[in-house]
Amino acid sequence: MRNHGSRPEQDGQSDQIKAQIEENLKRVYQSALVEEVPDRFKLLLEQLKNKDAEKNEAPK
Amino acid sequence: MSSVSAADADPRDQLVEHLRPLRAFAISLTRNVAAADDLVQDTILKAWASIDKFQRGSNLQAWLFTILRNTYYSSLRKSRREVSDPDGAHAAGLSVKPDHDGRMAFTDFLRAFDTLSDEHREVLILVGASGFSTEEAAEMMGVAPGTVKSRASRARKRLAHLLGLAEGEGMFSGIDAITDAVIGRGAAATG
Repeated sequence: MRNHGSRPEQDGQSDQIKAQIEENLKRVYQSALVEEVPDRFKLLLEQLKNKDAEKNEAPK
Repeated sequence: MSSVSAADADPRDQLVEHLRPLRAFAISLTRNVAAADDLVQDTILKAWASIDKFQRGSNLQAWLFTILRNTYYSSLRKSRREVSDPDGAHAAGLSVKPDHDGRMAFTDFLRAFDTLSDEHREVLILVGASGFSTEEAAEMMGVAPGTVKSRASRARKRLAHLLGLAEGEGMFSGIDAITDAVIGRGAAATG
């Protein structure tokens, strides 16, 4: 696995492609990251919390 | 990213802060919002049920990502497509040429990304895009760091190939042409 061989021109090109791939990969994740999280997940967490609270209050 | 309170706080109260990256990871992995949301829901339920196993003060996001990817893979195993295609060889025919200026369009990139295997999408998102270290990704994926590196390298080559950028041998390594020929032949034989 040699990424840097004896062909500087191609390596320059390859670095550029590599950089573009990395840039696009970040964009895949970032574009998902900026999406608003649906309320159902926050509600789910609240429900779970309330259920735990009830459990703890209940006498054993 | 303050870790001052991380050790004392109840991790259950911190889950809400990780919903966004968790869902972004799910979307990146499944490339399907509905499937991603189901996955996030399952992950929350599992995380809540096994919160005692979380080591306080350690990386909660990494812990959640681990649960999510494990949940994803076990659901995949249950509904495994009839043809196993770990390297995404079915997509070998798809080739998107870059624009004339050499820059790839994001839609083209996405199309290529979508045809990668789940393992390849995972490693590229974890290491390349969401900013985890190789070691962290290795822990999440349950493999050695060396495996993460080689898998990421193969995934990048695969992407370059799908994008039609790998024709000049020696792009990423000298064995590309051979690898591609083998993959191409394998796809022709099985497809």
